[in-house]
Amino acid sequence: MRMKKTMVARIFWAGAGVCLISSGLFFTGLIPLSVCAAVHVLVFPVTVLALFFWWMAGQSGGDIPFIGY
Amino acid sequence: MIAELVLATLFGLLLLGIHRKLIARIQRRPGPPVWQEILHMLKFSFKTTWVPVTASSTLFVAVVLIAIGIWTAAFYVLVSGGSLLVILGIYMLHKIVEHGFGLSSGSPYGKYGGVRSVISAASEIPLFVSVAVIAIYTHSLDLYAIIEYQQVSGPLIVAAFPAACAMFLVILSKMPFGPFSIVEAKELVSGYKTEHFGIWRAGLEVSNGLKTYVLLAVFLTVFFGPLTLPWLLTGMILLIVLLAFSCAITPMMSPFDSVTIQTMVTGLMLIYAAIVLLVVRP
Repeated sequence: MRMKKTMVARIFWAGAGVCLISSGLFFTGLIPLSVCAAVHVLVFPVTVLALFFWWMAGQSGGDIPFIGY
Repeated sequence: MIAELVLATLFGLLLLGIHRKLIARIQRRPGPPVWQEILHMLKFSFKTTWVPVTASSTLFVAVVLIAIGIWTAAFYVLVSGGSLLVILGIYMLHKIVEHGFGLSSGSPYGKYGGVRSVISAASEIPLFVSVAVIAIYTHSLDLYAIIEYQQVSGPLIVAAFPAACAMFLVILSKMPFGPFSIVEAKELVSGYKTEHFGIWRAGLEVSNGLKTYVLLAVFLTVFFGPLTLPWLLTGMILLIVLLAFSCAITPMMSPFDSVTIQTMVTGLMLIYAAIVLLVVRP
């Protein structure tokens, strides 16, 4: 399996956006804390790993060596 | 809320750094700077990463996501004043995650680390007894109810000091370089996390930061009652100092000794719980 740098960047920005929007909705009282928490439990881990993949991957080559010794 | 989550992770990593620094100073070594664990996480996140061919690739990756996810859930249970039982459940899930880390890699070191994680489940039994004692006193396991009880009756650290000691022991068993850290013993290289390097290890560090923050905050909330943020953070630093002293002056035990001592503590805690049950709720 190979992942493109642009793809993980998209996953990161989408995840960060969802986390920020859910936090904003909670602070404005539109969603309860339980919903905000459920969103973060699902999205935060993926966002963190996507961020790490994004800044680790080199510009040249484009692909992240994802498998194999 | 995402800002609080990120700050809690970073503060947890800082606490682990203070823990490492203090252990080094007590042992007359210079030690790393206190922000070393944060640098560690960043360093690993820049390393080349792949999945070993011997690994179950789905589990190998998923277990990192689950590790961060469960402690994110624990953070929100703490923030919302939810049930202590849920946090206990998440703590037990962490054992399964450690086991998953070890088994997914296909490395013998990882597997042994995972197996040790299962046998060190003995360390969780004092936690069950601590929770039972708290329930006897407060008639509830909701963190809000426990805080309200302490506002009226004073901190539980006074009334249920042995339960606090047992929970301290449980947290100690989760700290690196501690007497009960048999899952990360040097003879197993890095135990269950041996094969999780690069980004996977960075993800694991994030999970460790959150775990440290949540466990210390739960201890302070359950035994000291309502604390303002500055007092909570100060309390966590003092607690980590205490944990560092305990880790620095005690050698890492063999798996057999570790489980034996934790089982003995469980026995003592059961006697204590029976006494509390007879005296507080006859």
